[in-house]
Amino acid sequence: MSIFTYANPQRFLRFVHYVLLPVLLIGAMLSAVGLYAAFALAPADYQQGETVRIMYIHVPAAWLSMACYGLMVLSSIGTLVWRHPLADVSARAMAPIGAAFTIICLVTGSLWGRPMWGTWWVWDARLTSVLVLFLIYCGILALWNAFEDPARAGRAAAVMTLVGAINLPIIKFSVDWWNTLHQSASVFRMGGPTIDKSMLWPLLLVAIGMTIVMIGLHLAAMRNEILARRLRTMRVMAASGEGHAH
Amino acid sequence: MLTDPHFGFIFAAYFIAALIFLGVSLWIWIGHRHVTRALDELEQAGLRRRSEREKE
Amino acid sequence: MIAFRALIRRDLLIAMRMGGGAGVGLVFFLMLVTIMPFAVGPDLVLLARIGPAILWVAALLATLIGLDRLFQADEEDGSLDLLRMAYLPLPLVVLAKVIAHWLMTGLPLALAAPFLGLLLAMEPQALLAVTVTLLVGTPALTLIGATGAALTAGLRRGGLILAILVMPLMIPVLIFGISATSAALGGPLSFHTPFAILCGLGLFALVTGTISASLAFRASDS
Repeated sequence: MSIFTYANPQRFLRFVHYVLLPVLLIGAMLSAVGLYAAFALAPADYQQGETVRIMYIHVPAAWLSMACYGLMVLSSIGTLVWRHPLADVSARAMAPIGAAFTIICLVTGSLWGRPMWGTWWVWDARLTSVLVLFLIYCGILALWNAFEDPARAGRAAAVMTLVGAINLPIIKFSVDWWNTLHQSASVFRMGGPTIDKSMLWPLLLVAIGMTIVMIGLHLAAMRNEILARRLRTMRVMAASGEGHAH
Repeated sequence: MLTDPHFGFIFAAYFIAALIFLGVSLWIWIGHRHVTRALDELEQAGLRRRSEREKE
Repeated sequence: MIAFRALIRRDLLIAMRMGGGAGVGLVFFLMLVTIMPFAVGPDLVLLARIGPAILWVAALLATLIGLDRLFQADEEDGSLDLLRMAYLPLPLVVLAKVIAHWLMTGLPLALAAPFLGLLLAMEPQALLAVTVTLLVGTPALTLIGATGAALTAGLRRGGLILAILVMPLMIPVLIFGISATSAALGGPLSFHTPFAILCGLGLFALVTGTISASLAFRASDS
C-alpha cells in the first residue's frame, strides 16, 4: 500500500467517490465548532478588542496558502522525477485553491489592518511576501492555461513551481532586509507576543478543519481534472472517427 | 460584539472569505457537473473508452 | 570549451547581422527614463532622489521585453534540437546563449545608464554606483529570466506570461541593486554589504538559472 496504489486514475476516482463527502463534512464540522468557539467562548483581546476575531480566519488562510504551495511542490517533484500520472493532476487542482486561500489571507489581513494600524496596506515584510506568493500562484496558473497539451503544461508548471519554491526563501529574506532598511513610522505587533490558550485552541480547531476541507476540495478538483482530460481524449477520438463500439 | 466599533470590518472579513471560498467550491461543483454531463453525452453517442471497448 | 565559445560567437554574429534587437532594447530604456519626468514632474531634486530607482526599474523592464527572444528563434528553426544533441551539456548551452544575449542587451543598458542618469540630475557617485550595480545585476536578471524564456519558448504568445513568471523572482535583485546604490550615496550601511549580496544573488542565479532552464527544456520533451 503506497501512493502508487492510487496511481491508477480509475481506482483513484472510486476512492474519491467514497471519501469526498465524509472528508468535506468532517472538515466543515471541525471548522464550524472552531468558529463557534472563536466567537462565543474565546475572549476579546485586551488591546485589539473584538477585531482580534479576524485572526481566526486570517491565520488559517495564511497557513493554507503555504501548505497548498508545499503540496504543489511535492506534486511537481512527483511529476518530474517519477512522472507519476496523478502528480500533475494534483498540482493543477491545487493551484487555484492555493491562490484562493492566499487572496483570502490578503483581504482579511487588509481588513484587520485598517482598524488596527489605520491603513489598508502596509509594506510590511510579511504582507509583501504573501503578495509575492500570490503573484507566483498567478504566474503558475497563467502557465497552465497557456499550453494546449495538459501533459506538457504539467511539466512546465512543475519546473516553475520548483523554481518558485527555491526562490521563495530568498524573496522572504530580501523583503525582510528591504523592510528594515525602510523602517516605517508605524511599529506594530501582530497578535501580541504570545497567544493565550483560550484563543489558541479555537484557532487550531479552525486551522485543522479548514485543512481537511482544503484536502476535500483538492480531491474534488483532481477528479474534475481527470474527467476533463478523459473528455479531451474522447473528443479527439470522436473527431478522428475512432472509438465507436459498433 | 454587535456594538463593537469595528464590527463592520470583522463582518466584511468573514463575508469576503466565505464568498471566495464558496466561489471556489461552486466552481469545482459546476466543473464536475459540466464534465460528467459532457462525458455522458459522448457515451450516449456510442463512444467508448479504449479500455472499456476491449472488455466487450 | 571550443563549442561553448563558438556558440557565443554564433549568437553574437546572428544578433549583429539581424540588427534591431539590442538597439531597440536601448531605445526602450531611453523611452522609459524619458516618460518618468512627465509622470512625477520636472523637479530635479526629486528626480535625483528617485533616479537610481527609475534607472533600475527601466533596466529591469528593458531586460524583460528582450527575453522572449532568448530561445525562441532557435526553437522555431530547430537549431535548439541540434544544440541539445551536441556533446556540450545543456546548462552550458543555456549559459552560452545567456552570455551572448546579455552582451547584446544587458551590457548596453548598464553602459548607457550613467548618461541617462545625467538627464535625471544624479550625482557622479550615484551614477557610478548605478552603473556598477547594473553591471552585476543585469546578467543576474537575464539568468533568472532564462528559466521563464525556456518554459515559454514553444508558446506563440509567451512574452506576457514570461514577464508574469519571472518578475516576482527578480524582486531580490532589484532590492539589493537599489540598496547598494543608496548605500553608496551615504546611509547607515556600507556599499559592500548589499553589493556582496547582489553578487551572491548573481552567482546563485548562474547556477539555478542555467540548471532550471535546461530542466525546462528536458521537461518539454514528450
